Amino acid sequence: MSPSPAGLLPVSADHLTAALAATGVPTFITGEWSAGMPVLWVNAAFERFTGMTVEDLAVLGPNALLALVDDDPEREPAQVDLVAGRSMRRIVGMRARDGRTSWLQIDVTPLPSDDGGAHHWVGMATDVSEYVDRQAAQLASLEVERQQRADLDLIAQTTELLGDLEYPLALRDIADLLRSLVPWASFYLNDDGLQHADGVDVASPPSGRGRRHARYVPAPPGEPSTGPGDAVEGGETLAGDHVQDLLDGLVDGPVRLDLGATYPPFSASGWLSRDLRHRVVEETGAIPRSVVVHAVAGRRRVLGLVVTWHGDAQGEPPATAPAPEGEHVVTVVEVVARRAGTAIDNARLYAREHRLAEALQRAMLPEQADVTGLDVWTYYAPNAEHAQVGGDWYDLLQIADGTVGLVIGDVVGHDVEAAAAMGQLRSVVRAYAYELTHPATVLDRVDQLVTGMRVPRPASLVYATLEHRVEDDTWALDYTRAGHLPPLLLREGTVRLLSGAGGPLVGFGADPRAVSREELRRGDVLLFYTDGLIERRDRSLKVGLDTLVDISARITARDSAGVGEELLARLADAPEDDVAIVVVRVPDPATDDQVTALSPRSRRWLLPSEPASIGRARHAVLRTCQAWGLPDSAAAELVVSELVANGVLHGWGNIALRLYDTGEGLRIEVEDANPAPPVATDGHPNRLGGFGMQIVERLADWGWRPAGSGKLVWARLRAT
Amino acid sequence: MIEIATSSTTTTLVIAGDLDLAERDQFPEIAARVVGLRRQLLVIDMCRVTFMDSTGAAFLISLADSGRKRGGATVLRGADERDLFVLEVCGALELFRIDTDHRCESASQSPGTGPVQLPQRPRPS
Repeated sequence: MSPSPAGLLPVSADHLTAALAATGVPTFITGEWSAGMPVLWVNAAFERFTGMTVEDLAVLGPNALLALVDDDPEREPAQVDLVAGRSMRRIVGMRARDGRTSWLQIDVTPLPSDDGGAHHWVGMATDVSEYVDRQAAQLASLEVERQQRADLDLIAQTTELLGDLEYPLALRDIADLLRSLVPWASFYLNDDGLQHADGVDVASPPSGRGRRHARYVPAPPGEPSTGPGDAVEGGETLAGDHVQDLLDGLVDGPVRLDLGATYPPFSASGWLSRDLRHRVVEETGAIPRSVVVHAVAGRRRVLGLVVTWHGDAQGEPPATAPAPEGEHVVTVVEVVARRAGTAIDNARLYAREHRLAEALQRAMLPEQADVTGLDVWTYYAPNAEHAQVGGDWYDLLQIADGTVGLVIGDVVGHDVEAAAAMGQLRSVVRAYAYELTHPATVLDRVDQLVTGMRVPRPASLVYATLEHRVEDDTWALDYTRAGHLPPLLLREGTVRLLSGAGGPLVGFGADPRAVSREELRRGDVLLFYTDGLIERRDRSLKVGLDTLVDISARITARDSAGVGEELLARLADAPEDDVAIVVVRVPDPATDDQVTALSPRSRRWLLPSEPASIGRARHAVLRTCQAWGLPDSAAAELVVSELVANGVLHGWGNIALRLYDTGEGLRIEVEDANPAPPVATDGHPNRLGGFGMQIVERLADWGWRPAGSGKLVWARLRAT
Repeated sequence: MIEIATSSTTTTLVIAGDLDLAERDQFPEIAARVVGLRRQLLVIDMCRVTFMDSTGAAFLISLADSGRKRGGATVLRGADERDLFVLEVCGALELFRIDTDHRCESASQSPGTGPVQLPQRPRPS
């Protein structure tokens, strides 16, 4: 049997009233809206919950219920329903008697009436505090997560920006990122005194030293300027110089800097607060009262500061303790500051090491001096695995008109110590070479000095002088050897080892040094080299020397660069050591114009980055065009001049010049260590050199590509 | 090497050797001296110029340009075809009056032919 409504016991109106009064749900009945919804009846639960009786509520006047609950933004739309006589449901906050906020879901329903108007309302309040609190907690934790993600994102972006500190506005970009957290943030670096910093000068040493931030900064308008110091004599009590403590690493920070306080004269705090009052007002229009200062710490020292202004809404906690509500901001700024410190330190240390290595390398690289009347080609290849410095060297010295000194030498080893020993030895030989002309005397003196100098490495060398005799246009060669391989003399297809005047290594010459003499004629070629050219692990030095002689006998080139090129093509296949080569050729006007078909049609030179190299490069091109029988050397000369001039002006390091005969025009390659591509400007009439690449463009097809750490610019001359 | 000679109306600049980046250091001083002489006519004698690139051209252009601003003229004599080509690429030919009748005293040294003297660097002192 199924129960039916008809079968149930009827509930009387009394029961319903009693039920309403007895239910645990706070319930109330009010009058109509237009009368201010006066509360007419409440049940016991309501009284328990609010502590108010109907009488108490009546005292509160019209809209008494509204007085009980907190204001909320949804009140207006809810009231629209009430005015229209529709039932309404919303959640309101209410301060309970114990002071806690409870959340109530209020349901207000109009009681039916004869005329259809809403004359009475019944309302019920359900306590949903637990639900609302849980939701709020969820929202809050979501907010925390979002915040953390945003912070991580900001730190990631910062890391990216710190990756390129060469960019001049790197620090400003990071400060801009921080300004998404705080109204104002900026970097200061302590490079011999505090300075506001938009970027990092990586060339400056990683110092963080200096206290010259006592410089005068004009006070903001309307404030009396008190000059370099802040304290007026006999003035108020001075605040401590927390910023200097931070810079000195006495405190880890962050510290709060009160911009209204008076600081000791010449203090970092004083300087910073003066600068900040200026800067923040200028950039935000607001007048800051206090800022938070973080240290940008490097490995050894504090390199600078990150200053953040968090706005001045909150009260001022004491110095050295940041506002607790900005906790996560402080953490983020702290992380950013620490990362910035490490990055700046690294960038500067790296730049310093790099500069040092480059300067040493440049100083150690042999240079080719031009000597009048001789065709000279030099080559130097330090073993790349050994830091690009080595113990090999050569020098060509124009001692006097018609007298040339030539030295090639080799200090054992290819490390920095070998390079340093080479540097010393090179200066010694140079100095004596200009003083004394006779090779034996020069070497004797070098021996004496080196014995006393305690050069830490054994060294070998050949020293030679070449003297021009005008009458028959011959050159007299005098040479002496200190433990070095014999030079080669190439004459008309025959090769002779100049193995005279041998002696012990430099510094071991107990007996006076000997000298050998040779007469050089037109077309003769002298070949000086270090053992790296012929030494291989898989063959003895003797075999290497024989190979060198064989190869030299087959050389057909009639220019020194060509001779060198043929040597390198056949010998320097896999050098295991540094290689230095000097080729000296006595020009022979009778045969120099003859084109030799067998010689390889490529040439290379390494030129120091100096204006004199431009003329040298032009000469090299002329000589090469002559040797290869190429017409139109005038255009080639112009192109090479512009390319090398660009390399000297804008490039870094030494300039490598290479020439190839492509069969369809001369190909010129100029390589330097600056990776930035050449620019063909539209030409700035007031700037020198703006037209260089335009000239190249008129005469040649050209392009560039990255090469090594730098770039290679090539140009192929068009047939005219 | 660059020499300055002057008469009442004319400044003559005799240039010898290479006119490139290596010579740039002396350009400002010479330009200042030429401008200071305030002659109506500037003659640039290029007979003994062995080579000129865009850097050298820029120097000549700056001379001609400052002359023109004062209402003066610049005559170029003894310039070879390549020098004129460089000036043309620089878009500056109209700044100069080219003296085509001039015959240089010494035989013109066209580059790429004959023995070429190696450029000489001064001895270190």
